[in-house]
Amino acid sequence: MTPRPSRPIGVASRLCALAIACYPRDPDRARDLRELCDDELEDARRRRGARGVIGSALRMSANLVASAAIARVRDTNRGRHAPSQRTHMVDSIGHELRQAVRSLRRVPGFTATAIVVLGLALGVNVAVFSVANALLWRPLTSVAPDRVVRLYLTVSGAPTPRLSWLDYDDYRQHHEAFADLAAVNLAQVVVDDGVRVDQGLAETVTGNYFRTLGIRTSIGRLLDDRDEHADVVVLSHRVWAERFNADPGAIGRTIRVAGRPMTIAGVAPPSFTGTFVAAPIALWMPLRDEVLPRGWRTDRERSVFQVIGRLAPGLSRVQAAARLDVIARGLEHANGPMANGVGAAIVPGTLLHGPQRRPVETIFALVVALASLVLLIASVNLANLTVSRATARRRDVAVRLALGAGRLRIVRQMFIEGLAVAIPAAVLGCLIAVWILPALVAIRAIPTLRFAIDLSPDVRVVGFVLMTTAVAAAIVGGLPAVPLMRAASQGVLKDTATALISGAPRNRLQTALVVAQLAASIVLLITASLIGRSFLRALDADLGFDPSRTVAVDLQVPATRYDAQSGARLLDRVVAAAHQLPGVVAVSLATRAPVDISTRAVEILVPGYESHQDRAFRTATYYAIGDEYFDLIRLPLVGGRAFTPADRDGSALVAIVNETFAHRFWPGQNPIGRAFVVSPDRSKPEERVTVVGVARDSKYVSVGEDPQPHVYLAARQHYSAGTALLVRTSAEDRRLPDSVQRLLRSIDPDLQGFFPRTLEQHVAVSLLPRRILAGLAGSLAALASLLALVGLYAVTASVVAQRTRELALRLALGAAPADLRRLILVYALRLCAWGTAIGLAASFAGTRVLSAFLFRLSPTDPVSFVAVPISLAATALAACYVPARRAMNLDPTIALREG
Amino acid sequence: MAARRRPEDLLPLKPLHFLLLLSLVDGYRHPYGLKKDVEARGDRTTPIGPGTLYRAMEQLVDADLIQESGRRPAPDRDDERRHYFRLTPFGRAVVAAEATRLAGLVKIARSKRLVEGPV
Repeated sequence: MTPRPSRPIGVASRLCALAIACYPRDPDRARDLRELCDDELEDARRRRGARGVIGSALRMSANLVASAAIARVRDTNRGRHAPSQRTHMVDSIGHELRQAVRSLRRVPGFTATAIVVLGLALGVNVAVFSVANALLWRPLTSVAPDRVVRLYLTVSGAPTPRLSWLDYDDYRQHHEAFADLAAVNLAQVVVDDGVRVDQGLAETVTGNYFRTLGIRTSIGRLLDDRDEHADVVVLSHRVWAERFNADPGAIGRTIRVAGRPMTIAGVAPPSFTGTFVAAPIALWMPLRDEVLPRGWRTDRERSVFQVIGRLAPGLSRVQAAARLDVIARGLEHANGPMANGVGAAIVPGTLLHGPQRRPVETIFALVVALASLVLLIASVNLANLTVSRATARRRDVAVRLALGAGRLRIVRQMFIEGLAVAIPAAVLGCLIAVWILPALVAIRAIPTLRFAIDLSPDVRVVGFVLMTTAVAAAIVGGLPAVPLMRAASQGVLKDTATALISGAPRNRLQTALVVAQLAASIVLLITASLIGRSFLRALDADLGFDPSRTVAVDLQVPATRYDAQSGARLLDRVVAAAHQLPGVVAVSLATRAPVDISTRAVEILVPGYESHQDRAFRTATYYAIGDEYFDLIRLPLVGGRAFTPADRDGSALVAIVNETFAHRFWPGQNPIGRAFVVSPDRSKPEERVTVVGVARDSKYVSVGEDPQPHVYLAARQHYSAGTALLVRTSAEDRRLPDSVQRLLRSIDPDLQGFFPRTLEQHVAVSLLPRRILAGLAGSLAALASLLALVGLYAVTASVVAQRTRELALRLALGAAPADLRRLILVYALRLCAWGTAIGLAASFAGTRVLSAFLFRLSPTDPVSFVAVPISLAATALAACYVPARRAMNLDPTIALREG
Repeated sequence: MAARRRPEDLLPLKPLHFLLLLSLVDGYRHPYGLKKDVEARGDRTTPIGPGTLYRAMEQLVDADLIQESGRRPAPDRDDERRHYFRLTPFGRAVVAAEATRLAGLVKIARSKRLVEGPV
C-alpha cells in the first residue's frame, strides 16, 4: 500500500499541478510533468524536509509557468509558421530572458536589493490577500462551490441568517429549489476521552450535512441520514491528530460528548474546518437535546440554525430565488399570521456571511489598499534605481531603433527584464508570506480560543500572485523605458556634458518618481498615525466600570436535565459556592460579561414612544444580572437601588436603566417608578417592568460605541440556561479559573465553565480588530517610508555622482564645502517638500474614508498632519547626509581630472 | 521527403541537450533519472526545472535524437507508470560529433596553456 503523502507534499503537489494546468491541454505531457514534480518533491522531502519541499515546489512552479507560456506560443505558431520561424520566435523570447538574466547577474548588488525590496512588498501583499481570501471569498466547499448557498429568512425585508427547526423543516421538503438542505448549529461542548476532559466547539448537524457540502471522508465514514438518531461523531482532523495521535484505531472508540457516550465514526479531511468562519471545530455530531436550547424542535422563535443548501441540478441562483418566493408565499398561507412578511433569500455560500461581512470587508479594503500602495512604492523605487543604471542603454536603444527594431520589441524586452526581477521577487514574496501568515493567524483573542483559518493557496491567490508580479514587472521594466524611448527617438547620441547642465530627461523622471514615493509614504504614515492614535484612545477609553481582578466564565446549564426552576436553583448554588472561594469579594451572574459583541438587543415600548418612527426609540441592549453585579464591576448607581433577593420569580418585575435611557425617554424627570414594556424572549409574552434604579452610562457592545440606552433585568426573574459567571477577588489570582471549574464540577459533573478569561482580556477582544489594524498599518507605513527614504538617498547620491564635475568646479572657484553640503541638502529637502505637499493634499482628501475606523479622533487630526511631515523631513535629511558629506569632501583636483 | 541530415548540421548542441544525450549513451533512462545525472555532474548550479527538462526532451524527440525505449528494468525494479528513453542511432552520431568538436576546442585550449594536460 502506498503511504499517504505528507501534508506539505500534498500542498506542494497541488501547487505544481496548478502550474502544469497553464500548459495547453495535453494529458500525456501533464502526466509526465506531474511525475517529474512528484519525484523531485519526494527527493526534497527526504533531503531537506518540509522547507525543502516548499522551496522545490515554488521553484518548479515558476519554471513550469514560464515554460508553459513558451509552449503556448509554440503551439499557436505551429499552424501558422514554418518550423524554422517557429523556433525563431520562441528562441527570441528565450534569448531575451537569458540576456536579461545575464545583465542582472553582472550587477549582483543591485539585483539582490531589487529582489529583496520587491519580494518584501509582494510578500506583504500576498499575505494580506491570502487572509482576505480565506475570510471573505473562500467557499464552504471545493466541490462545485458555486452550487452551495446559504438560506436566509427575510423578516419584513430584513435578512436574518438564523432559522428555527420548523422553518428549516418547511423548506427542506421542497426539492424544486434544493437538491439538499442541511441545518447546522454551533455548540460549546465538553469532550471526555477517558484520559482528558476538554472544552471545544462542535457543529450539530442534520444527517445530510456532509453530503450537501460534497465532503468526502479522510478516515472511517462521515455522518449521513441514518445517523440522525445515532450516537456517533466525526472528529476534525486537528483533534484526531492532537488527541489521538492520528491513530486510525481511534475509529470505533467511545468518547463522552456533553455527557453522552458517542462513537467515533470517522475523521473529516484536513482541509475541511466547518462552516463557521475561523471557529476551531473539534467534531461534528447529530442534533441532540443536550447541546441545543430547550424547545428547539417545536418553537418557531428558537432560531438557532444556519441552513446550507445545494441548488437543484440545472437551477441558477436567480431561478432558485424565484422558486423560494413561491414556496415562502405558500408557507405564509399554511403557517398563519405569524409567518406574515416572512420570506426567504439565497446568499452565496462563503464562510463569512451576513452582518459580519461588512466590517471585515471594510477593514480588508483598507489594508489591501495600504499594501498595494507599498507595492507601488517598491516598484517605483526599483524603476528609479534601474533608470540610474540605464544610462549606457540609451545609446544601445538608439542604435537599435535606428536599425529598424520595432518599438514594441524594445518595450517587450524591457518588460522581460522587469520579469527577470519580478519573478524571483515573487518567489521570495511567497516564501515570506508563508512565513508570516501563521504568525498573523496565531493571534489569540483569549488564551483558550484560537482561530482556525484555512490559508492554503487556491486559484484566487495564485491569480493574485501572477497579477501583482506582472504589474510589478511592468512598472520596474516599463518606467525606465520611457526616457530611453523618448531620448532615443530624438536622435540622441548626445554628450554627457550637455546632459549634465540641461538636467537630462531621466533626472526629471527620477525626481518625479521620488516625489511620488514620498507623497505615498506621507499618506501611509498619516493613515498609520491616525489608526494608531485612535487605538491608543480606545485603549484608554473610560469603560465606566473596573474590569480588574475579575474572572468570567460562560456557563451552559444542561437543558435535558434542568428546566427553568431547577436551573435557577442550580445557578443559585453556584453563586453561593463561588462566594466560599478564598479571596472572593463579589459574585454575579450576567447574560453577558460587559462589553460583548454578542450583546442582545430587546424590543421596548415606553409609554408615549410606542409608535416612534426611529427604531432607536424602540430597542435597547440588555443584560439580565445578579444582585451584586454593580458592586462587582464597580459601576455606580446614580439613582434608586440595585436588585435584591426580593426581586425574584413571581414578584413584581423590575428593571434598572442607564443614564442615556433615562434621559432619552424621561428627560428632566425622575425615572424611578416609571414603567415600560420589554420583550427579552420572543417565545414569551411581553413584560411590564418598573424602573427601580439608574446606572451610570457604560460600554455594552464594544469599547468604541456611542452612548446608547441599556436595560438591566433581574436574573432571578429572567432565567437563561446560558449565562456568564463573574467572580471578583481582592487580589489577582491566577488559579481562580481552575478553582471555579472544580467548583462547578463538584456541583454537577456535567457543568463546565467555558472560555475562562479575565474581564480585561474579555474587554480587549473588542479592541482586537483595532489592535491588528494598528499593527498592520504601522508596519506597512514603516516599510513604505524605509523604501521611500532609500529611494531619496539613492537619487541624491546619484545626483552627487552625476554632478561631481560641476561641484568640483564650484569648489575650485572658491565655494565653501559647507555651501555644497547645503546645496545637496536643500535639493533633498525640496524633493521632500514637494512629496509632503502632495501627500498632505491626498491625505486631506482621503482620510475622510477613515472616519469609520477612528475612535474619538478627527480624520484631519492636527497632531498627525504636523508630526508626520516633520519626522519624515528630519529622517530624509539624515538619510541624505552621507551624499551631502561626500559632496563636501570632494577633492577638486581629482574630481576634475577624472571628469 | 527532407534531404538527409548529417550530424554536423545540428552542431553546436545546446549544453543541456549535450548533457542529456551524454547520459543516455549508457542505456535507457527515465526523465527524472536523467535530471539527477545532469545535476550531479556539477555543470549546473541550480536544479533543472521540470518545464525546462521537458522542453529539452521534446526538442530532442522532435529532432529524432532520442525516442521512447521498448526495454524496461526488471519487474521488481520497474514502475509501470514511468516512460523510459534511449538514444536513436542518429542521436548517438550527433552526440559523438559534438564530443569530437568539443575535444578539438580543448586541444586548442591546451596548446595555449589554458588547460592542463597533454597537447
